[in-house]
Amino acid sequence: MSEDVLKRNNVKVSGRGARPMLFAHGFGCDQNMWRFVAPAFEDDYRVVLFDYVGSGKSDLSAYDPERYSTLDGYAQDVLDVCRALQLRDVVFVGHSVSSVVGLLAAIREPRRFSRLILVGPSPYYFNDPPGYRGGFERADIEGLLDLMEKNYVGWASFLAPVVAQNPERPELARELEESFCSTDPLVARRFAEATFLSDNRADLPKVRVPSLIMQCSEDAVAPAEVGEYMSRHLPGSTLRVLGATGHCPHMSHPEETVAVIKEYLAAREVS
Amino acid sequence: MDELLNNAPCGFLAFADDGRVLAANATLLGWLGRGEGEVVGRHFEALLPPGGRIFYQTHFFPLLKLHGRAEEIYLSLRSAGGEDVPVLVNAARRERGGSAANDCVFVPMRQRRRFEDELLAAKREAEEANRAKDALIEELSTPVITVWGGVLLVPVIGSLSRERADLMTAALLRAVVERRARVVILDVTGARTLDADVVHHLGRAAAAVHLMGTECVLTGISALVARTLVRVGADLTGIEVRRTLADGLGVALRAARAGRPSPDATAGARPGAARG
Repeated sequence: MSEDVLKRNNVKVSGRGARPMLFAHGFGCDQNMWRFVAPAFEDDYRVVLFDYVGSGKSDLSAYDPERYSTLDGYAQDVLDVCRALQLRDVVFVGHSVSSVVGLLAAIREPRRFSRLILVGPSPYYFNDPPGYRGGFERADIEGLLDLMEKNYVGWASFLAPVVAQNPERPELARELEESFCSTDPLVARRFAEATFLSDNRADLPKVRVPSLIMQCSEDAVAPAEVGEYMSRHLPGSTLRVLGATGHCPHMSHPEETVAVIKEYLAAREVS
Repeated sequence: MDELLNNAPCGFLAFADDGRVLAANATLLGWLGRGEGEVVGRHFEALLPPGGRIFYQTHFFPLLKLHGRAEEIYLSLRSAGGEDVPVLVNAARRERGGSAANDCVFVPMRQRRRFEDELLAAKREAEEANRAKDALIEELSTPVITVWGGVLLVPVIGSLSRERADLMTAALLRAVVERRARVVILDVTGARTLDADVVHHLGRAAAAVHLMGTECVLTGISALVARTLVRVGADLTGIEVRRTLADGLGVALRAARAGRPSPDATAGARPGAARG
């Protein structure tokens, strides 16, 4: 079972520390997105990276449309990886939708986690007036799904012949494979729907594990108001507004991201 | 900016990793109906509709950052007037003055986009039609016909896979109970191939029918199917075998008249008995 999970989720373990630090990638990419941040923790932690089933180099044959139609299915992946490696006292780092996935996992097995680091989290992406502004309307998500579909059509039907015409450059084919982190359009669409259509606001008060909310400046995907909402409703949370702009500070501003995480973990050690 | 690039027949824009626009050419600004001051120094994302901003953050930027370039990506840019300009983007990362710049070239895709929208719609329709066809075939592939009271006919047409044999057996057993069948005719006249696995499966189906007190008659065995039956040593105990469907109907008719299934056997091969 544990061997299967490690292969299924393409689990990679590195680092010289004893305490586990588990990095969970967001929608649209895979564990590669932690490339600029995770190595900074290898001296002090046992760093664990993985791909959700359906993403990156996970085993696509293990994909179950039913299971992965809600974020609970993804939370089960996190718990499966923890169980397979017998992780305890885990520092969980989740980007974007994986923040919510981490919260769901921590609600189900609170004792497994010691800290939750939430990078650009949002419990609900839609506006729900008058009290809540998630930033998006349904039509916006339709626009996203449409763009995804058009781009997948592009990759599948227009670029493949180009690759075939360049047999002397096989690296082109390999690059193409890796270009879009999640390759199956139906899987990506279902992940997008699970991400953007779920409302996890009611789950926030159930979380018992201390957490750090890393809120970017000018984040169009998870706006400042959402970060404030999270910090009001998530017990034991600390809100940090980053100088970093955008939604992927671990890729655009890795130094600040590493520094803020280290500072939070060090402060928690002392207290 | 170079004059050639500034007025080239493509849009050009460079942005830093934090999304700030470093430069934009006159062609692009013209399409968007925006002045340089409204674009340069502000966020690239501000030029995108909301769905596009998520796509930029979850796909476009990670792709560019991780692989150093991105090609043939669809995006829509939003003009000052709120109109969406569909574009195809090629982008590459470069080091300039010690920091990274993401250079993007845009080609508007208004006509082609319409064409591709139609292609996508046609693809979706084709997928839908395919699903409907599969459902219909599945339904048609397992018909259980009531010939007259207590007599059921199952015509097996085309090639019978293991899955189809499973479906057929389930439908048949259901019908035997629901329609209180006394005789079931399995007619394989229209069957192209029956492999060993499927033949065993049919044998088990017939045995189940038999256990339920219903007679089973197998008809329309071709030379090819007969050879298969002999080769695999199929166990057809309890199954009446007749050469043609007409013969099979005769058996059923007599059974119905007699008020019971007839064990009378005068015609047809008995592959089950022929073995060993």
